[in-house]
Amino acid sequence: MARTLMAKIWDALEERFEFAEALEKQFSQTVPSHATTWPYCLGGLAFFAFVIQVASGILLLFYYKPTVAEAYRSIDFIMKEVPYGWFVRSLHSLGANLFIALIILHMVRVFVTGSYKKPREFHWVSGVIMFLLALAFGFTGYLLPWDQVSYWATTVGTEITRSLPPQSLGHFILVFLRGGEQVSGDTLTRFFAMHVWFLPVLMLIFMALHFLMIRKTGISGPL
Amino acid sequence: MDSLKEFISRRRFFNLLASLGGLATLIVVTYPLLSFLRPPKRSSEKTSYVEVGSVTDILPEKGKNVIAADGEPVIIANRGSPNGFVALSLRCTHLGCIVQLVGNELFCPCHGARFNLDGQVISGPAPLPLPKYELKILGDKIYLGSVIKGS
Repeated sequence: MARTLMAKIWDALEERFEFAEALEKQFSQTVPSHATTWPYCLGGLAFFAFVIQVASGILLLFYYKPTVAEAYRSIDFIMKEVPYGWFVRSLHSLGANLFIALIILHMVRVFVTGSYKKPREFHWVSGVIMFLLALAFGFTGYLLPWDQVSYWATTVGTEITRSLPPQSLGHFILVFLRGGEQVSGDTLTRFFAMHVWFLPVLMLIFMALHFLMIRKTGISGPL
Repeated sequence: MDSLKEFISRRRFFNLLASLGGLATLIVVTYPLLSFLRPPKRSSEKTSYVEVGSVTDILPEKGKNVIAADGEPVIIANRGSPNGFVALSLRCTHLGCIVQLVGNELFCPCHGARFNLDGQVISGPAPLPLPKYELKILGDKIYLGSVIKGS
């Protein structure tokens, strides 16, 4: 019964949109034999790590509160009282390291095999942008526990922008990042917004471009 | 061997095995996920009271030192009517020494902070009043709860 209902819906969708052929084409691509080795999996693994970050990050949003009074307390609550909260948060903070490590390894593979050369220069450029986005993810996420380490890391990290010449520009960026002269609750909400909305949306856009481009050009040939 | 093949084909056997694995994975993921999402009880809502003595034990202007459930030393002090009993942390809010009942004041031997039996600072270097604990009296028994946040 359930099976026939599913089949009916499937047939109706197919009749209207004719997507079966397109799906077949997408999922039956053969991987060239020179690319069926671990180093060629690193990009896909980095994407998988990102999926883990998104999933665990969404779960953390159920309990995290981005305010000066509640940030640390809510994370303490996640770690000590929410069932499996320690697991979800550890997965998120350790997975962040894994994500960056996999991106770097993927870059090394692409560099060593010379895959960044024409016609794939834009793949490399979008990849470097995503690497910088991943670092921005790490930097903004580091503030969110609102403990001494994150407070001072953010103070030192944002202070660097002050030395950017000309002085007025450096100062403008500093104030823009901190939401004021000092690292405060305004910085926390700013970093939170960047961490959970601004950066993920940018990252997804660049990932889509990255994947579409590699589909169009195909991967580079054997060495 | 042939009878086994008739019973279940190789393909069907491995399909079944894979589905079992898939089902196990689904359970292993779903259970923690649901327990994570279910609204957990906050420990502040889970106050449990412990019997610490009876009202006849503690005379007016006297107190009884006990250890609260969170491990902190607490005094159950009798301020006499009408205020009655109060539970105060004995940890000085200045540098954490243990205060003691002297007369009807709590005195810190380290730097001379003095508190009244409401926990308020009378004199000395203490920046904040002593934290209060939840206290219940049922019959003539006294029950101690947990620290009152923000006190």
